[in-house]
Amino acid sequence: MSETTPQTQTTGTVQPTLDTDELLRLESLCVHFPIYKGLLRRHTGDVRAVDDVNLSVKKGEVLGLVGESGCGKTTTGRSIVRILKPTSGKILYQEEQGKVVDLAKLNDRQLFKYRADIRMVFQDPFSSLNPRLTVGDIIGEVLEIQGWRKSDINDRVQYLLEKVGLRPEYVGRFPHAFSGGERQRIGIARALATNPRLVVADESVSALDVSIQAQTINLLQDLQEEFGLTYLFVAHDLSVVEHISDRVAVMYVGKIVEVADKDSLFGSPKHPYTEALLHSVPKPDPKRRRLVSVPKLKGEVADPANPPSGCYFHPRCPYAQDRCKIERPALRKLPSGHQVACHFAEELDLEGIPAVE
Amino acid sequence: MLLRKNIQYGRPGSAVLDADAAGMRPENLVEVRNLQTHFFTDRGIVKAVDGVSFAVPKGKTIGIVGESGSGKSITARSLMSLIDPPGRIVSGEILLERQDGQVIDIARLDPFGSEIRAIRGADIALIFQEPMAALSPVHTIGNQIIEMIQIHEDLDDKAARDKAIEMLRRVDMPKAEQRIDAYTFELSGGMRQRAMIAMALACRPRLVIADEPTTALDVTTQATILDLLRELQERDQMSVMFITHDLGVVAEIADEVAVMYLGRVVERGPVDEIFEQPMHPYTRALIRSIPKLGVRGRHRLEAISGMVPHPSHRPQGCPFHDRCPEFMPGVCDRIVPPVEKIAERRDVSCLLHSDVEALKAASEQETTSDE
Ligand SMILES: Nc1ncnc2c1ncn2[C@@H]1O[C@H](COP(=O)(O)OP(=O)(O)OP(=O)(O)O)[C@@H](O)[C@H]1O
Ligand SMILES: Nc1ncnc2c1ncn2[C@@H]1O[C@H](COP(=O)(O)OP(=O)(O)OP(=O)(O)O)[C@@H](O)[C@H]1O
Ligand code: SF4
Ligand code: SF4
Ligand SMILES: [Mg+2]
Ligand SMILES: [Mg+2]
Repeated sequence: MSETTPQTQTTGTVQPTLDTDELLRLESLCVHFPIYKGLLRRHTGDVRAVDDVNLSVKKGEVLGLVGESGCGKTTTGRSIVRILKPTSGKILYQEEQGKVVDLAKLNDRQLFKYRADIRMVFQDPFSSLNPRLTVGDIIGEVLEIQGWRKSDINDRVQYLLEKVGLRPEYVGRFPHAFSGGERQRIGIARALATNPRLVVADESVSALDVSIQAQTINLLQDLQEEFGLTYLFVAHDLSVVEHISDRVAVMYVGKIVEVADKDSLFGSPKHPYTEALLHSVPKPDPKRRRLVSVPKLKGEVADPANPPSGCYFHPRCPYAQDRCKIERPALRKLPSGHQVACHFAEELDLEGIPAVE
Repeated sequence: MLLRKNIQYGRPGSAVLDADAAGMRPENLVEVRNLQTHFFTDRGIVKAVDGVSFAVPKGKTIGIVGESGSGKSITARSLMSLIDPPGRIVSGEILLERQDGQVIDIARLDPFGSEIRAIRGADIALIFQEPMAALSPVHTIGNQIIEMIQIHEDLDDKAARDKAIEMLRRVDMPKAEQRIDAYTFELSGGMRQRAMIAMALACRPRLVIADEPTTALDVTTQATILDLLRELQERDQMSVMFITHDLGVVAEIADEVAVMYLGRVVERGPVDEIFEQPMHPYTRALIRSIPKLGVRGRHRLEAISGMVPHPSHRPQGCPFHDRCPEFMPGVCDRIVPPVEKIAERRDVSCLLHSDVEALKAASEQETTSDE
């Protein structure tokens, strides 16, 4: 059902459609950064940071996005909020009333109204807040841009501060007077200011200490329930992703290699890269370290400017065969519901992380 | 310079002790006793390390955990006597058993003297979170490792280079013979970390202090670095002090664990006991607050309320009392919990495990005699 492709009408114009439960769908999304070399700044190649990504985000879900450093997670997130213009492909967004637009094609003026709907929470609570603005101005800035009245902005800011657990009287303070956890709350309040429908959270709890991290995760979950938000939750900490997500997508060198419900992705992964990632996570249980059965992943992430032939993962894959060096596996759907890009997904017997109570 | 004149570095008394006089247990390489390292800032005294005691067993790994600001790095730097002004070690002992069996109190050494310089690198080496804090960007990694080797060993250039290549091989640096001539900018994050570890291990130190060495790395790279450290440790029987805020990493690598909070070790013990029978409310809360791989149903995390106070605003009594779910009014906010020894290598500082009545009586006596 979700494989419906845009219907090409006989006239040749494309009328994009999304399933009713889809909020966003990336179709063949590519973001390539050109590399220039030499005195003449010749264009010698491209960093294929995001390379033919197909992924849908369902209404009201938390979709986790994981993968090693440099795999293209942030670039994907930045394209969705359109800080970046994609090189090619579609970012189909379904408005509240059901109308579907391709954000990839819109110019700044046309994007204006969607900037309120899709918001981002950044990783670094220190550099992402302008030190010269008060907390009130930081949170209210976007509302001013969206043309809100001054008094409405003030009410809204007070309301948001309360929602994220900060004292409303902090409104006039500057960011330096806050701890890392409090700054991240300011960042969350800023993202929620416009009543967004989709929030892209890029490593937004990664820099926080354990106790503050737990508080922030709880806050994000509470706000999601209260406002019916949808999250694209980018993080490298797989325990956090498992905790917060409904579904999880795994990225490797610019491509999605596996997507599945959280339980099946963690419990029975179908892609060798997912298996390797899961078994690299240190388990906070000294008994379990003696049960290591899956070999640790060796080598490094391939260079997205010069990816290997065939399956990008083949130089590191313990199950690689000759075919993997030649033929690139496409992302396809298995009967179990997993989407996976591996030639041998059906044959391999991969090990997941058993559920614990 | 003016500043320096007023501060007395290295505390009085002889730093060299014989093993019996020091009273060190034979299974320990290092014993830290009641260490206090304070910073004398314009805005007041920051008691970054305020009465820390623990021991590093020979050939084993002790994990030091605690949230940001709990004093982990300052403890580590104190062990190397690398505290920059306005900070200094104000009291306590850092006993180190040297190769020849002699025991030396690092807390009493002149931090700029030749004795501590001989210890750094040769007896104790430090691995940082950020490899660029230890590696120079303008020299090849090989030259840096060779220099380190030649400070401590009398080897000619050729022999030192061979040894450096061997070190790089031991840390699994791919193509070690070529990479020895690489600059740091030519290496990935994981490779830089390996180069720094090779440099730290070049003189076969007996203790390696690793201060969050994997925090900035991918889980996959982290896993290989942890394996590597474990392997090297087994081969050379070195001791490792592994500092991290990641309980998962501690569970993977440590034999013993010390939990720090606001400049103190609040609980210490074998890794299995710390995770299975944590005794301090802070340890229990920490373990409960992290998401655990494998727990899938939708649930809320049990977050610890509030946040770590700044060390210059240390609460009265137990430093954890304003966040503690087992807070006892009138007790925890008055009495500083002493270190209670539960068993050999197992202790805790929480009034739930102390004889409160005796402590109350003692503190009353103290206040009356003060007057
Ligand atoms: N503006 C840019 N110009 C050139 N290359 C870029 C740019 N931004 C990102 N890249 C490259 O694109 C690739 C993907 O980067 P991206 O930041 O999306 O990865 P990531 O998965 O978010 O990694 P991390 O976990 O480290 O945040 C990397 O190779 C990166 O070096
Ligand atoms: N030069 C200094 N002057 C004043 N205070 C300092 C100085 N260096 C460290 N401190 C303080 O000492 C305390 C302990 O710092 P330390 O770096 O040991 O913490 P940590 O446990 O290593 O934390 P993190 O996990 O963030 O690395 C902190 O509150 C810090 O602000
Ligand atoms: S296609 Fe081949 S190399 Fe790629 S993940 Fe599958 S088995 Fe491994
Ligand atoms: S002494 Fe009191 S406040 Fe401190 S940890 Fe124990 S019970 Fe909690
Ligand atoms: Mg990123
Ligand atoms: Mg530190």
